[in-house]
Amino acid sequence: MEIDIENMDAGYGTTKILQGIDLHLEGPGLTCIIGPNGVGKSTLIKCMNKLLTPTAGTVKVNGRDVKEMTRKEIAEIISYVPVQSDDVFAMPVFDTVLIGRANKGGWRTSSTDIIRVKKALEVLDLTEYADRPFNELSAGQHQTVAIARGLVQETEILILDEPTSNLDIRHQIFVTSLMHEIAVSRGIMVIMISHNLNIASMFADNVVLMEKPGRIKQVGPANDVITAENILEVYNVNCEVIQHQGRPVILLDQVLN
Amino acid sequence: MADGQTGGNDYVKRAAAIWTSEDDTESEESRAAVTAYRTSELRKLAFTFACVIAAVIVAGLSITYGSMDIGFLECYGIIWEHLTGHVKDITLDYIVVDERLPRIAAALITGAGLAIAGCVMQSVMKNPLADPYTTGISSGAGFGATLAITLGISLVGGNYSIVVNAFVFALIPMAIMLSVGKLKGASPTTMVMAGIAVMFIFNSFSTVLKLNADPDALAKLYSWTVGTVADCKWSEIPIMGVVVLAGIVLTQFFSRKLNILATGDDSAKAMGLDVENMRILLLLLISLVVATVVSFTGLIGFVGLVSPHVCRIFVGADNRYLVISSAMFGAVLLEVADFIGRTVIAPATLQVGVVTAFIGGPMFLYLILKQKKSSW
Repeated sequence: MEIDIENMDAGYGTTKILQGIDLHLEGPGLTCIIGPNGVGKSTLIKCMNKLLTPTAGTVKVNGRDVKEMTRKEIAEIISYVPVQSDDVFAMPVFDTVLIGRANKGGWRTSSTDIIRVKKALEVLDLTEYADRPFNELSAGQHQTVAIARGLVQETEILILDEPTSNLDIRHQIFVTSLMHEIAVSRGIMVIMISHNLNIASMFADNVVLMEKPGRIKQVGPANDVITAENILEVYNVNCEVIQHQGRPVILLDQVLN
Repeated sequence: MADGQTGGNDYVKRAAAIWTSEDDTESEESRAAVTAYRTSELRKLAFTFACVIAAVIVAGLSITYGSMDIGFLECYGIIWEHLTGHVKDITLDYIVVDERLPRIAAALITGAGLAIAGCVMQSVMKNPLADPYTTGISSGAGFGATLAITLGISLVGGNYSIVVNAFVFALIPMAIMLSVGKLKGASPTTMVMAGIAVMFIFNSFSTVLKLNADPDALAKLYSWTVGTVADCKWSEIPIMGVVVLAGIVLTQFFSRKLNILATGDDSAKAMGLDVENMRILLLLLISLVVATVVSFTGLIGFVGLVSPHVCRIFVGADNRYLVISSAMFGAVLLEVADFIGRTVIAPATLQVGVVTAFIGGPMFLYLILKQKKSSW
């Protein structure tokens, strides 16, 4: 599995968000994309599965230009968990997750579909909510259900847009570490946007640090990317970075004006 | 997410191991999960089946009522004799098959057509208030009928001048909406706003025409805009039936895609759905269905709005079950409304459109207040 982005520009209408993006991601593992608000992290992942068409450059998935691929072909390789899910006509949690299996078979739900959904709910501690309407859950639970829906698609690449933004600290750790474990044990590539640098540092195999205006500052292991200099330069935040269990940990100091 | 022990490495590894382990389809837990799901499927289908049974019973009751008394079971016998070509009493056969059955068939078909249109509209527009007329179909059809009735301007002459005008003009708002969708992107909000704009435009045209219309034309126009199935004939039933049946079959075919659409545009695209084209295709499909039925019956409100909501309470929001159950419930609802219209102030009759509004409104309010789970 491989995502290869070359000299890519992207934006919305006439507003340019990303410029000159070069990024190569390969093999199983967890990649965390970090960077300040508005830097283009969501824009970047939306270009990976053709939710957004770049204005320049190329995006290749497993060696094929996504421009040449149909949505169905991309969906067979990449699953995507958006930052928010619609819930106008809410289904029970079980059925909401089951939608993720829609591309796996015909009109009828198979026994395999049912078992995979049951497992996904169990993995994410959602079993007791299986019959609850989706719109009666908290924002954090919405996100976890959306992650379960992403998991049951069983693709080789899973992209998550801020999957932990509404979760408490314990569940942020749980979800991020679970994504790492699944990536490693299942042999898939998981790409997620994160704002919690310490948690990203704990579990990411690879960190992509983005900076304004819409550029990639550095890509690599957490120890190389999450440094006091980079944090100051990209976030405008003074901090001290110490080592804990072989990983960098940020101790915040003060925000610069 | 439940409050459990999270964060510990072993805990996470165990959770990941559940996911990566081979599926044991024979385990007791797996079998229980599959059985529970299959039971819930049967429960959903039972509601649809109950609607079909209700339709048959109400049809019998409706046939028995009229100037000549016919027994409840006798009417089914007469229909069976007609179908098998062994008619015993020509008079009874004529009363049941030629006089009373066409309006019942029209009510069933129209109710089913309006209900699936409402179901699709609400899912596609992601709007609980969307109904078959949100796309401006009613105002377009209304203007076409107004043109034929007040000025005698029609695309064809004769008995079908109003029908053809209503059908053609009902499709114009959709053509405008699709054009706007092509220019601005077929998002639900754009579609609803374009539909409302077109509705106001056509309504204003109709109002101008009504200003100089004579009283007879106004009375006829009023009758058409309220909606009735009383004037439907056997010659019209096949056209309505084929279009509505095709609409139900195709919508059912796309029902899983409707579920994907409900997750949001980005999510649906990521799951491989061509969102804009699917939305346009479905809207075009239901526009044809609605234009066909309203051109024969006039504007019958509320069935399209209320039927999917009632069915969501019983079968949930899964469109694979919602589409067919809405169609069956809509058919029964309109059939009951027509029966009430024929009997409640007999020998005078109330038009079915008036009855649907009378019973639909309070019923809808009652269900909103009564339901425990929030379905929208």
